[in-house]
Amino acid sequence: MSNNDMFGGSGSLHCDPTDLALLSLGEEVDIDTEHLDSCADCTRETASLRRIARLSRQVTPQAATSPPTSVWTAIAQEMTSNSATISSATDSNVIPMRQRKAPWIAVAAAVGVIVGSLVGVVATAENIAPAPVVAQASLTPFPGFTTTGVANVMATDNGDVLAVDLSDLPPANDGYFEVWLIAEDATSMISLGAVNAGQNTQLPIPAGLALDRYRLVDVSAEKFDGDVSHSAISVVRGELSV
Amino acid sequence: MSLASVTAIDLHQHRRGGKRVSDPVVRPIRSATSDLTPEHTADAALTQRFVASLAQDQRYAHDMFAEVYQRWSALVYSVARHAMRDDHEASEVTQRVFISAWQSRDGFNPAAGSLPGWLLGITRRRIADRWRERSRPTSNTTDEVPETAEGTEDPRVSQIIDQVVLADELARLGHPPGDIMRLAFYDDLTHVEIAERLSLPIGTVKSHIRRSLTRLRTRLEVTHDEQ
Repeated sequence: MSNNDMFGGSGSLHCDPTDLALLSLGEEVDIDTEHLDSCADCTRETASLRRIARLSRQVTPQAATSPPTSVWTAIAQEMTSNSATISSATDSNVIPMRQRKAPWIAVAAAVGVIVGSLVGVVATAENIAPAPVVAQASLTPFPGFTTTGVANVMATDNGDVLAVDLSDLPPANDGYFEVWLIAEDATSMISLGAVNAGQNTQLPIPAGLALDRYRLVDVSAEKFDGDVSHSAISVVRGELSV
Repeated sequence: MSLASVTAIDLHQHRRGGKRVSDPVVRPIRSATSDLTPEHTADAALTQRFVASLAQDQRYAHDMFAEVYQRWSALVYSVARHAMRDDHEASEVTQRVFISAWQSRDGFNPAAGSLPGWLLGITRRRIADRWRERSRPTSNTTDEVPETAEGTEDPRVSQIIDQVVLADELARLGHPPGDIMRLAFYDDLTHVEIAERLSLPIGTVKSHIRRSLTRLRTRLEVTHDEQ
């Protein structure tokens, strides 16, 4: 493409765009100044590039910094918990990060503690035949994490269990990882118990739980802090499909 | 045309063709595609998928929003850090920006502006909110930031955005364009001196200078492309 095609094609020959770039950097360029002075396009191009050069000289090249992982965690939780009222929500719904734990999470998690105490019963039962998989979720990482995995709901003689396989987990940092089932509308969640990387962890699902409602499998990073509620730091999540 | 059927090409044409009265950047005539980097194309594709996800299942939109966050949160956070001069407050601003964006996502119109432009527009408003909260009379801290009226956009934020965007784009220019532009901008070398210093042909240096300048300009334009 010739300069004249680029600049519209009529009138006298336009200045070479590369020369205009050098000119905008303050270099002395052998250029048709008569044309430059009379041509609005070339004048505008030079002024525009000059502005870029001036602004660039005021900064130091530096790649933008990513926010801490906790920021996405808080956003994701807000997105999930507000999903029913998104269109009418306003900025006033934004709650500071440190106040994020909703009471219902604590209640649901307390239920989870009771359920969690049953884990040993199933895990130590001998000779459990391979049970049919009735639902499966592939677990995908939240931003900042690389863990992936699969969760299978299996119908055993002792009731449904959730079998969790995780590729790897981030360093626990004085904590552990916990498996949750979250209701589709995010109005409640249930803790199934702790999980480690790699192994096929089988966690009992409370009998009578409406699995078609609690379809989201979530693994959270928890601290040994006695707080039974969800830490709001999810590592992976996936939806169960039959 | 339904939003879901908007293609990357459509988005590009909309942006070029859109008439914007308050456009802060002069748009000179130039070739249509030479300034587009693979990154621009990827960004357009991400915008397209994001828009398409809005019409779909909520969880799909959720996942797409996570991708949008991964692509643009560093820019938003960096702008917030410069504006708030406090990492924790910058985190809170970033959180508010993306929650606002999620809540108002149906209002995003790719024909009216770019995705980063939309996010940075929200960033301006959330930063202005925080500055206002800081300067309220009930606060004991004396702050040099004067109060601005609600809903107004502060030119200081625009300046910060320009600086963060340019610093980021300059860092991403790579080799040799990034080296060439550093020598041109900060060491004030001419293109002939740069060619000698880097043992590159003069023509190569010249075309890198022009391409890098227009790339920086395009990046600034896109981030100003609010709605």
